[in-house]
Amino acid sequence: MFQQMDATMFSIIAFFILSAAYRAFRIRSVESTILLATALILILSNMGLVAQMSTSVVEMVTKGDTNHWFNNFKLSEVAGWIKGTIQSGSLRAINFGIAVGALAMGLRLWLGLEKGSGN
Amino acid sequence: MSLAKKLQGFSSHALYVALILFAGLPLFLKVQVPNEPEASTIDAFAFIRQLPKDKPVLIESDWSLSTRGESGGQFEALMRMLMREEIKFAFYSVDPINIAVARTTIGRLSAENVKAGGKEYKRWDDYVDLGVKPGLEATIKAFDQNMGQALATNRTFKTDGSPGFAKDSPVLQNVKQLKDFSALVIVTGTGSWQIVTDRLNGKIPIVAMLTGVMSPEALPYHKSGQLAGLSGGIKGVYDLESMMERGLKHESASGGDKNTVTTNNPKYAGQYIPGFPGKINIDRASAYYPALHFALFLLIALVVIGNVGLLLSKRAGGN
Repeated sequence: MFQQMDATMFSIIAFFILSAAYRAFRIRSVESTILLATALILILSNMGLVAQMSTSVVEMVTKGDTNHWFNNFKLSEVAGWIKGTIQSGSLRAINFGIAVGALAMGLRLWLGLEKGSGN
Repeated sequence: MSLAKKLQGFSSHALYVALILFAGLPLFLKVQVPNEPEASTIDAFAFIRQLPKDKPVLIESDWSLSTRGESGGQFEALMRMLMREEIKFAFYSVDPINIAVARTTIGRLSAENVKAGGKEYKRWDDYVDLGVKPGLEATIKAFDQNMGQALATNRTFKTDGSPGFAKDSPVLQNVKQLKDFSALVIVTGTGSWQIVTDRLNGKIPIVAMLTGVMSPEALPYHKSGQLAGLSGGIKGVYDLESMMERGLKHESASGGDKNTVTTNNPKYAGQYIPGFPGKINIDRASAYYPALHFALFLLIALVVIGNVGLLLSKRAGGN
């Protein structure tokens, strides 16, 4: 019973994600436009049918030449570049930031510099 | 109400009904959607298919039915590949519910393997159930420092249900250290993969099978080589199932056919890794992937409609 309830609770999230995306993903500024465009590319790259169609179009242009520069514009390549370059770099920076922050906090506690919140 | 307002103001209930229809109806269609497997999943598939048969695999099965669409499919794909190659394994979970799910799944897939002409996977003889490890940090430290001792005190069940110590199982006869396992495969819907990967990096090859939400966070670990392979979400399962059905080859390699998944990664130069044609490969993900397509299509359509509404509203001089 617990397992089924666990699955039910998790599946409800899909409804909230859809509703939140519909209401929040609006082009109101340059930043939100970049975010929306990036999200769109990654979502489309997760749709195998769309990714395959993009590959077919690129192959039609390049006429099967695997060294043609236009191959870089396959949806899977663009999404791979976003994930491998921008996303991975950002996540590394976040992880380094967390680690350095935790180290600094640990040192402050160790050296007795961190006082309780009540003081 | 103006058209611009209408386009921006669909009620939540209307959206929920649309999602039920869009995600629910495709579940009844088991169709093969065209697919291009991701590089990280190709690495996971190639690594698992090239595991040595004389060494057991250590598996962390840390998922429950809440992520069965993703983790369940990944665990099933992993089990099918190991059982068909007759590779032995030991598994543990961090949560008592998760281990129950893993036990049920292994039993079901062993029966499927027998039905397909393969061997029956017997507890104790072919795999060992290491049980629940609620203190993952301590468990990983014990595995790392003295695997032999950790197994010597790890109680488990034999084939007939009688109790025994894991170290006495035929599966773990030659396991004295962590590196005596060929790999550690983590199938999880939680953050436990990070605890394990951080602490065991460089000590054993690790493959992570994660949910779609978690996999972006794991990508830097794969790119740095800390993860030998990474499968993320339903797309990851579908990638695995596709390669199990069609095989994998480098573009320079001979073998396979026009349907074989092709990679240009120089790491696989000249290699052809066959799948398991004629067996049950296309399963859970093939049912869920079209549903994901439809749900994502709905999401994109709604975002576009909302933005068209916003544009119309701006043109009309509103906010």
